[in-house]
Order: sequence, then structure tokens, then C-alpha cells
Amino acid sequence: MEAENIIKMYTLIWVLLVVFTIVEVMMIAMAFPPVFILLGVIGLASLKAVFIALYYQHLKYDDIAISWFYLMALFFAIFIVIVFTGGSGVWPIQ
Amino acid sequence: MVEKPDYYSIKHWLTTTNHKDIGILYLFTSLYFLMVGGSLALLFRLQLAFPWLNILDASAYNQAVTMHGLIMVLWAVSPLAFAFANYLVPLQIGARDLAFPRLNALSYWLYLFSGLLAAVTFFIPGGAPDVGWTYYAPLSTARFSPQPGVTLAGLALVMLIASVTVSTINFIVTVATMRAPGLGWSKIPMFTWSILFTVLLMLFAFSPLAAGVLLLAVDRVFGTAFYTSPEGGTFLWGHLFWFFGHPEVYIVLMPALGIIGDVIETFTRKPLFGRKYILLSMAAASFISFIVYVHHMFNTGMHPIVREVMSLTTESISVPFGIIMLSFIFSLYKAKIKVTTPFLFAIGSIFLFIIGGITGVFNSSIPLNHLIRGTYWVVAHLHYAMVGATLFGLLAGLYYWYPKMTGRMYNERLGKIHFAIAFIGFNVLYLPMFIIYDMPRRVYTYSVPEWIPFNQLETLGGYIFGISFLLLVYNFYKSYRVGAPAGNNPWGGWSLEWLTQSPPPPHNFDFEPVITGDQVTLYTNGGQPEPHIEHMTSLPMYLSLGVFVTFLGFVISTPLFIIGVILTLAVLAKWMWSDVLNKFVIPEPVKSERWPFENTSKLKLGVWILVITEAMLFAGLIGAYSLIRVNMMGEWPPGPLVHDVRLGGINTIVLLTSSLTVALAVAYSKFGNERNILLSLLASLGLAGLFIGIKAIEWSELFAEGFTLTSSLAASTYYVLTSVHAAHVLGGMIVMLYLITKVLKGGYKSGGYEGVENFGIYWHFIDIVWIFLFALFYLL
Ligand code: HEM
Ligand SMILES: [Cu+2]
Repeated sequence: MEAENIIKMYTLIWVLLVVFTIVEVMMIAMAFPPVFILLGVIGLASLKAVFIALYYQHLKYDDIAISWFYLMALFFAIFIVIVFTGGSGVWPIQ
Repeated sequence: MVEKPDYYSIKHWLTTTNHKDIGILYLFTSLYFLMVGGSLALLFRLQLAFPWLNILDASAYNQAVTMHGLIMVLWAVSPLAFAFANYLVPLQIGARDLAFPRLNALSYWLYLFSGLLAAVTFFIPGGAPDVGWTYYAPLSTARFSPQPGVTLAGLALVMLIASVTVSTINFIVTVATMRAPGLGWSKIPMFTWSILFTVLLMLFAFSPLAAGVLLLAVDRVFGTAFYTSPEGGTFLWGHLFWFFGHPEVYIVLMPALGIIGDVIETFTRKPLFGRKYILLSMAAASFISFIVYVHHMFNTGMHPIVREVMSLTTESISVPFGIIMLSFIFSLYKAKIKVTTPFLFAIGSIFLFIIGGITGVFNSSIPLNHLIRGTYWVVAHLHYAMVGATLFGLLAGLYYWYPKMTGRMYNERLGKIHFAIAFIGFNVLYLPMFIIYDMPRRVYTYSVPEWIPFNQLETLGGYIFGISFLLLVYNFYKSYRVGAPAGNNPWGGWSLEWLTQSPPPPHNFDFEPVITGDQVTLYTNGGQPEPHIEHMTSLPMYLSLGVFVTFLGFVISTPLFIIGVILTLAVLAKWMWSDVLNKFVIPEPVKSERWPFENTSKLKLGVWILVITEAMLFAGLIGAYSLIRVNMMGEWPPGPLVHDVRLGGINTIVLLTSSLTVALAVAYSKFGNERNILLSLLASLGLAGLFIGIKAIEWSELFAEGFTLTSSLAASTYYVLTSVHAAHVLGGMIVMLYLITKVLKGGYKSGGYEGVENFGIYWHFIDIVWIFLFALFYLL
């Protein structure tokens, strides 16, 4: 890519990240139902993380094997959260 | 010609970075710890044989048992495997060294000093930890175990985790990117494969443990209540410990399986039966080992579904192990076997593993587990697996590669006698434990007369087993002087380590091994060995010493602590400065096999692996957050009620902007625009500083409002997680300073600014972590 295009892209990503953050903060200010806020906040945070990983950490342009490592860590992180909380019996299963 | 190093000078051993020297250091150190751990065991076995004599009182007994477990698992058996890994993995893949030789030396010195730090606890007031190697909370908290030794051994563990993390990075990068031309994945010897699985397990298992130990240390030192409150407590520790603990037992086991594979292949003179299926099974077992750990918590009030699921996954793990064992056994069928000492140890290991594995399946049934939990049945099971399977496998390796490492043959007859005595002693020691399966473990005395003869038999076996090692020492010592010369390949092995001299020269090969099909071609450089630069440095040793003094001082004396911090920082500065001046550069291997990392440099892959370990650290911490928050239910105040969401949002944007400027620095580095690189880095540094400044303001306001470190579990969680993150930001700022200096000094003129790009990967990761912390603490 041309130097200018790269810089343009990085700046565009930054604008998106800032906008997402502002939306997050505004969601709190408005009285949405809690479940909505939970999903919205986690969703937006994940979206921001994906943008950073793909473009700033340029996973999109690197050997795919690196992404597999990252996804593995993500898998274990989610596994940890589910088992740690699931063991306490919060999930509606019986 | 390459100069031969002076192996008799102490300075050589303090400054070496050669993988074979480091391997030898690991070997002697781990055998030393094996002796320490073994002596402790012989001591408490004596007490159990004569329970009325009270040779050890309750406290001394508990200290001995705890330190025995910790030392054996963490500082003896696993590092013994890494002695072989260091020595042999580069040889087996036809490389000249590991990817990062100085970091490899650092791994070793951190390991040595962490072990000494753990051992020092015997000599401080209050003595060594007496809480069991599993460090179960709340027993391990200050309320029940106030003695400083518990904290100190915890810090030793942190140091060991640092060592393990560095090794993990080194071995993954080495195996992934430095294989000899033509050495595809399918041709890698079993031992190197097993080390690859081992370090992959380490990669994901060890950092969450660091999170657990960190919380314990904060509890003990700053008086928080992660492990003393019912909302965190024993569950929190159980989860964090066993998410590590179960994979850890496979970390210990895996290298032994690799050695057995190599040994069987060599002495049956044919390829392993079902080699591909063995590898697939190893991969499957490695993965499954992460999703079974609740079998160590069956007797808690954990939700039944979680227990049932993990009972099933645990039982399913015997399938891949069954495949591995059957393949090993079928490999012996109709083979012209050469029965040697390594072969005997390998077969012994398989036999004992089968007993260990079958008893494991009993453990994994929830009803049976209620019966045997905390008894000598479990002790017998784990020793059949860890000592029988693992240590016997590693001893096979020791005999197998002794000729390679020394250039001499050991005495075969003495070796076989050692095997026979060790095998008998081992079974006399552990088999009776299955019979008195109802005897509780970790209790220093008992008054059930029927147990006495069994215990005395076990103790007898223990001494036979222990004393058998004198034969090994004598044999190796004597053979080192008078053994017959071994030649390059005494066993007729096919892997690359057997193609070079015994012991191998510092640069490993006088030629370039190139593999085509089943053939190895040795390219000589017109008779001249490839130039090989040895890098001698004392920095890794001093850095580890600095950390040792810091941790020791932290627990027992403040002046010592200050000296330690100064030493550590000074060595770090010196290390960075020598890098600014490019004193130590190893070129990328030009012609190596490196699928699937063709486009990733060694250093970049290393940084990525580091990021993965960091991700697992935060996964552990966020797991702790989730567990506590869920257990606190309504008691946890929603974020917006406590925190200034707008200020937090602004700070988030500050950090996001620093990511932009770092990304720009990387972009400019691609085009070599020096001035803009510098400007972007300076801007990033300023923004990072601003982030920390705003953080400080937030904290002081929260403190003023009474939201302090110990005011509630929610507050403790907030402060610990955000401080760990802030510490990463500060670390990143130090690296930025280093990069700025290096650019100014012209250190990148030839290197293409790789450092800037690799730093970017790390910095963006820290940004991602913050995005989640912001959501979890401020918004929800
Ligand atoms: C098929 C294989 C295996 C199965 C199904 C299995 C299953 C289990 C189970 C269910 C327990 C919990 C017992 C209890 O405390 O109530 C246990 C304990 C243990 N296992 Fe295994 N295991 C297997 C192989 C191994 C191997 C290969 C090792 C080590 C190399 C090992 C080391 C241990 C240790 C150290 C403990 C005790 C931890 C402690 O409480 O101190 N196991 N095993
Ligand atoms: Cu387990």
C-alpha cells in the first residue's frame, strides 16, 4: 500500500474506535435495560478489539498461524470465564 | 577454526549462552533438586514407618511434604526434561542454537535462583511453607499461615513462571522457524515433537497460575480478601490453580513420551508403529488436558453439570493415551530388539504409566472420587504417573544420550542393574499404597495398627529406590573417565544429533544438513566449518540475581529489597544499552524450513508468543473478576455508580490515540522516515504518560471517597486488575524510551526498524486489554 493510504486507513480506524467508545459511554447515560447494556458494551468492546487486532496488529496481513494462536487464547479466556462462573451455578441450566 | 571454549573455567559457565552448555547446567541443577526433594521424601517416609517416634513433628512433616511436592514437580522433573530439550532440540532439527541464546541463559538463571529462593524458606523464621504443594486457599492465606515462607515460595513460583515463559517463547520460535532445509513437520523426531507440545501447554497454562499467585500475594501482603472471603475463597484458588495444575501434569509427562518414542525407534530399528496417530493423540491429549481440571474439585459444591462434563472429558483423555501406549507396544512386535538400559527404562515407563493411567480412570468417576479423594490411593496414582512414567522415561533419555553428551559409553551391566533395583524399589514403595487406599494423605502420624506394616514396606521400597541412584552416579562418573569412546552414533539412531561428533562442537555441525526425502545430505563449506559466534554474557545471571535479592528483601529486609531493585534496574539498563548499540545480532536463518511462519521473523513470532502469555494472564484475572462478581450478586456496585464514566471514557480515548500514533510510527518505519518515526514515538510516550496521570487522579479521588484497596472485594479487584494493566503501560513506556534512543543512535540503519513494528504488536495488545477493563469496571 501507498504510504498515504496506510496512514489514512489507520486514522479511519481510530475514528471508528473513538466513535464506538463514545457510543458506549452514551449507552450508560441513557437508561437502557441491563441485558441490553451488557450485550451492547461487550459487543462494542469486542468489535474494537477485532479492529485493533486486524489492522493495528496487522493480523489481516500476516501469517494466518498467528491468528490461530490468538484465537486459541481467546477460546481459553472464554472457557475460563464460563467455567469459573458456571461452577457457581449462575447459568440457567438444570 | 572455531576456538574450543575452556570448559574448566567457572567464568565460562557463568556467561555461556550455548544451548548445550545451558542444557548441562539444567541437568546438574535439576539432578541437585531431585536429590533435595528425594532426601525430604526419605525423611518423611521414616516418620511414616515409625509413626509413634515422631522423628518429624506435625509442622516439620508438613513442611517436608509441601517442599517435596513443589520441588519435585516444578524444580526437578520438569527442568530435567528441559535439560534434554536444551541440549537436543537444536541438534535434532539441525540448528546451530536456540532462537534467542541470551534469553535461554536467562531462563536457566531464573530457574536456578527461583529454586534457591524456594529452598531459602527452610532457613527463615517460621520455616518453609507447610500448606501442601497445591497451596490451597484459605489455608495459604495470612490468616491461617502467617509465616513469611509461604509468601517467599509464592514469589519463587512467580520467578519460575517468568523462566518458563521465556523458555516457551524460545522453543516455539526455534522449532517453528529454524528447522534444517527439508526437515518438514512429519520428519521431526518424537522428542522434539514432545517438547513442542510441552511448551504449547506451558504457553496457556502457566500465566493463569501467575494471576492466582499474584492475588494470593496481594492478599498476604496488602490485606485484601480474595481468598478469605466466601465470594472468592477456596473456589477462586481451586479454579486458578487447577486450570494450571492439570495441564502441568502433562507438561511433566510429555517429554518422557517423546523420549520413549525415540528410544523405541532406535532400538527396534524401525519407524514407530502408527507414528502419525501418536502425534495426533498427543495433540488431542494436550488440548483435552485444559478442559478436565474440575476433576480435582469434584468434592466441592461446584455445579453438578460442570462436574459431570469434566468427569466425561477426563475419562475421554484415556483414549489418546491408550492409542499412544498401544502404538508403542505394537512397535515392539516382530522387531529385532537390542535390549539396552535406555530401552529397559522406556519399557518400564510404559508399564508403570499403564498402572497410573488406569487408576486415573478410577479417580475420574465422581462417586469413586468421593471415596479416594485425599488418600494414599491418589498418592499412588500420581506417583505411578509422575515418577513411574515420567522419571523412568527421563532416565531412559539420560542413558540414551549420555554417550552423545560425553563421548563415552557407560557401563551397560551397571545400567541394567540400576534399572532392576529402581523398578523393584519403586513398586515396593507405591504398590502397597493402593492397598491401604483409605489412609489419608498429608497427615504426619496415624494410630491404625494395620497400616504400619504396609508403611514400613513402602519406606523400605523408598530407600531401595533412592539408593539405586548411587549406581547411576557411580556409573556415569567412572565412565566419564574410562568409558569406551562412543563415536558419533553408538546406537545406530537416525535423527540428526547422531550425525555429528560426540560431544558435538559448539556450532553443532561441521556441515549443513539438508534433508531430501529420507536422505540427509551433508553440505560442507569447502571443508571449512561455518563461522559461529559465541556470545558470552553475564547479564542474564546478574538479572536473575537481582530479582532473587529483590524478592528475598521484599519478604525479609527492606534494605536488601532496595539493593535488589537497584541491581535489577541497572542490569536491565545495561542490557538495553548493549542492544541499542547492536552488540548482539544473530542473522535470520536464510535457508530454514519454516512453514507456517514463512513471513514472520523470529523476533516477531517471539513477541507474538509473549502477547499470548500476557493474554492468558489477563484471562486468569478476568476469570477471577467474573467469579467474584457473580458470587457477589447484588453486592457488587454497578460501574457507573462508582466510577466517573466520562473521565474513564476520555482516558480510553487517550490510550486509543496512543495506539494510533504507534501504528503511525510503524507505518513510517516501513518507509524509513526517521523524523516522523521519532515524532510518533514521542507522541505515544506523551499519551501513555497522560493515561497514567489520569489514572492516578482517578485513584486518588476514589481513595478520598473511601473506595480503597481493602474497602470491598469489588474495590480490590478493580485496583489489582488496573494496576497490572498500568504496570504493562509503564513497561511499554520504557520500551518506547529504548526505541527512541535506538533510532537517535542510528541503531536501526541496517535492521529496518523491526523493533518498532514488534513493539507495536505489544502496545496494541495493552490497548485491547484496557478496552475490556473499561467495559467491565466502568460501564457494567
Ligand atoms: C489417563 C490419565 C489420567 C487420568 C484419567 C487422571 C485422573 C486424575 C484424577 C481424577 C485425579 C484427582 C484425584 C483426586 O485428588 O481426587 C488425579 C490426580 C492427580 N494426577 Fe492424574 N490422571 C491421569 C494421568 C496423570 C498423569 C500422566 C499425571 C502426571 C504425570 C498425573 C498426575 C496427577 C497428580 C499429581 C494428581 C494429584 C494432585 C494432587 O491433589 O496433589 N495424572 N488424576
Ligand atoms: Cu488432573
